[in-house]
Amino acid sequence: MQIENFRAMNSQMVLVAEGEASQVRFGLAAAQEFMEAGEKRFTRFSEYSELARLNRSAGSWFAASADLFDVVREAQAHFHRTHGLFDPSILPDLQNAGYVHSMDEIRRIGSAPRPARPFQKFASGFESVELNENTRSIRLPEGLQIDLGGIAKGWIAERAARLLSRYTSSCAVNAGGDMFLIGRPPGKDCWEVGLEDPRDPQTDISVLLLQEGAVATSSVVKRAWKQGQLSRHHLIDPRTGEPANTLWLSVTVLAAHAVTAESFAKAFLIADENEARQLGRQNPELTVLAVDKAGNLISLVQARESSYVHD
Amino acid sequence: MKIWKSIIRIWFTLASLGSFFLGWIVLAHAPKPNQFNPASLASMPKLDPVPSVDQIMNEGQSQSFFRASPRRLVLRSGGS
Repeated sequence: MQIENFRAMNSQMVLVAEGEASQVRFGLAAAQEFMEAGEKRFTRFSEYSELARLNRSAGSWFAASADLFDVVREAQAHFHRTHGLFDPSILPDLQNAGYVHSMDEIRRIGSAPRPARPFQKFASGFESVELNENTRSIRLPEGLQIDLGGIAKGWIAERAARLLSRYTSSCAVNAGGDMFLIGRPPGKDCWEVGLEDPRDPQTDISVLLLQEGAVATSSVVKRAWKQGQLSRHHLIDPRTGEPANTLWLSVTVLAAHAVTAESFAKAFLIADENEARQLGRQNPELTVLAVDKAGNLISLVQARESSYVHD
Repeated sequence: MKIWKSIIRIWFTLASLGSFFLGWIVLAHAPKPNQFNPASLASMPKLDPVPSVDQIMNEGQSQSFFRASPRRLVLRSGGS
């Protein structure tokens, strides 16, 4: 089993692969290169990224790459599936809350600045984004700005895992908590995935025993900072435009695809009790685990065809 | 030619015997290993007596002997 660690997207990347050594080495290098190229394409912290150019084009049609088009299409599908709880158009609110630099930079500075003037929140939402499949172009309503941070990371993790699997017998890609697993580790029936305790990230609150598929965790403590006297985090409630006041410290979702796991982890974390019940009824294929403020691990939704056990 | 062969044979024989006896003399006069030296006792560390099993079982802090060290998994999901 070969393991590759590197830092990208302000997160720790871990690639794990089994197979013929020279093939695995080649696959790991290809997957790493793909992930680093994906970061350059989807980051909002570089004015040269394709996402930044899309945001600047708001109000007119933008000819997108196949990758950006695919991620925006997935984002729109999951915006509708989560009834708007997952909403990439919260970017101005995120910037109002002080998330204007990368998390590594905010940690280095120690606190986030207050914006010189509040960013405008626009009436038209993410549902107004237009996609033209024929010309592969995207039109954001004038003034709308989007952040694809989480969903892009999940998309990159799954694509990188599928690329790596061409060279390996089994592999796993972990992009800072967004994970995609293919095959089985040698000599084992399943992958062992530690579920971090949000109150003490050095320890695991549980170990998930998983088959193939995606895992994603959203947490209100992982990307948190001070803005003046206010404690802030990156999970914006699209209904209030403020960092969400959540029932849980973290939510983990197991799903067939990484974009689904990532967007529903955010949605379940932001949802109130009724909304969470409704999401659970409408998406019985998901497994959803939450950690409450006392550190209890709670199963919110248990897929009928469950492929996990936790110890 | 024949005489040279004889001289070389004699030379090898004498050189081998000489080396053997020289080695013998050197080893016979070398210091013996594991010779008892009372001065070396002073530098040996003094160890506490090993606690009995009963002592360990009765003392609360001794539980650390038996606590399994937590596993650190390669794949961990903690949130983005």
